[in-house]
Amino acid sequence: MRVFNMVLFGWPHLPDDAPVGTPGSYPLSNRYFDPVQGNALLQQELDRITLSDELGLDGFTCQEHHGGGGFCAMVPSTHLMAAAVSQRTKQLQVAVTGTCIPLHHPLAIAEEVAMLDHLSNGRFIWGALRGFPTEYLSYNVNPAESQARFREGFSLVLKALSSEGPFDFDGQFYRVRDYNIWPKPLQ
Amino acid sequence: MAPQQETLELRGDGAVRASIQFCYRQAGQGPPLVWLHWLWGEPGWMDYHQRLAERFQVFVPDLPGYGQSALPEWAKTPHDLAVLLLQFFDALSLKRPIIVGSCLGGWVGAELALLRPERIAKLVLISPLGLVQDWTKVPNLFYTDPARLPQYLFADAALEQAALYVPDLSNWTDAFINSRNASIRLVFDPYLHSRSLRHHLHLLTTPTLVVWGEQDPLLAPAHAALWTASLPQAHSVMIPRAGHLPYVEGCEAVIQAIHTFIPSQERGGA
Repeated sequence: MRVFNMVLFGWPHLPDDAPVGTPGSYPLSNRYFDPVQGNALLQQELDRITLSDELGLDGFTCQEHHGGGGFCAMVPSTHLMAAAVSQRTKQLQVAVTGTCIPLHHPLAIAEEVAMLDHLSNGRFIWGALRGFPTEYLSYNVNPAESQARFREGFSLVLKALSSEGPFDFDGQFYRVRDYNIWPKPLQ
Repeated sequence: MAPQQETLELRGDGAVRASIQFCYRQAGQGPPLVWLHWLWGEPGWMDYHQRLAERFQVFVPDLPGYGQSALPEWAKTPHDLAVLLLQFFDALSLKRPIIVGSCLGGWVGAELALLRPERIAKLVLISPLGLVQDWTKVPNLFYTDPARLPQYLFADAALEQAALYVPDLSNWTDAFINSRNASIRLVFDPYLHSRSLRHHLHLLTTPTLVVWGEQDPLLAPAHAALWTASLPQAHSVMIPRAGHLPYVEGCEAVIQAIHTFIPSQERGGA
């Protein structure tokens, strides 16, 4: 058995009357977010993750959510979080579970995944997901295309990570001519 | 008079012309008139179809993606629907029908007239999508509590017939979900409009009647003026006490406006 510390980064300082979980309550106004408290929370979590590394936990992981998602999460970019964690830890595996593929360009995802692999000295684990319906609304990505974009984007990320390039890709949503990512991943 | 219900299998050539199945209802005698339905399809053969069938040969197809009509993978815009509809017209030998399009169907009708003006006798656009003053202020039909939909579509949100057009969540059938998915695919972004259509409309010289519900909660009646200002041969009629589907709340007024626009001695070029 391996033990990972999954950090949700939910916002703990909501007043009782904050309209969460009611129809039309997304997104929650960011006037409920206090930058000083938020900063302290983020730094505190990073300290905990560092401690979990020292205590010998197997890994860390976090999730991508936009506009706070349903629980006011503080990590719209798992890749940035993973980069920070990779620099504070020595042995645990750094995972993201995961990247919302249809909300980003698959080549950018592949490039960041390769960088994270190097920043973490090969301790990185990449996971992918489709995200919440509201996140498609916010990013104006057509939700009717979510599954197809996920499948196609996932293939492109894998191709970019594994190809000896340059390569071409001719998809319904993403088209690439004569490109390869740099750096290649370590693992 | 019950309408004939037909399914048309159009065999493509495997390359350019799509293989597609069209389902449609048809009734009446007279000049051919094609009714293009709103964003979530027609609930059936309705009283306004029947009234039109007293003077026209009325065709009510399920647009590709709706009901039993399939949407090919490449088709993503109302313009693409217009291209597919021309195959439907050819198969039924509809040489020059009158087009009456509501909401999404109005946008498709405008695209048809831009694409093949010689194939359209006259155009009736009933609160068409395609031009939107400020899309951020238009209620989002796809991301809302379904119970709120009647208030976004009808002047009278408590209207009994509303449930036929926007059923309660517990009554969503597979067919309704398919139609809704087709709409999301076609008009999610840009929301309910096209960035280029406005700049094409000066080429649309087909005589056009623009019909708008005076209390349209989705697209304010001021949108009618956007259309008439862009179209060289258009005028508008307002339907009192009616919302986004004015033929539901003001059936007789809409039929009267169409009859006035297309006098009975006028023949379409069937």
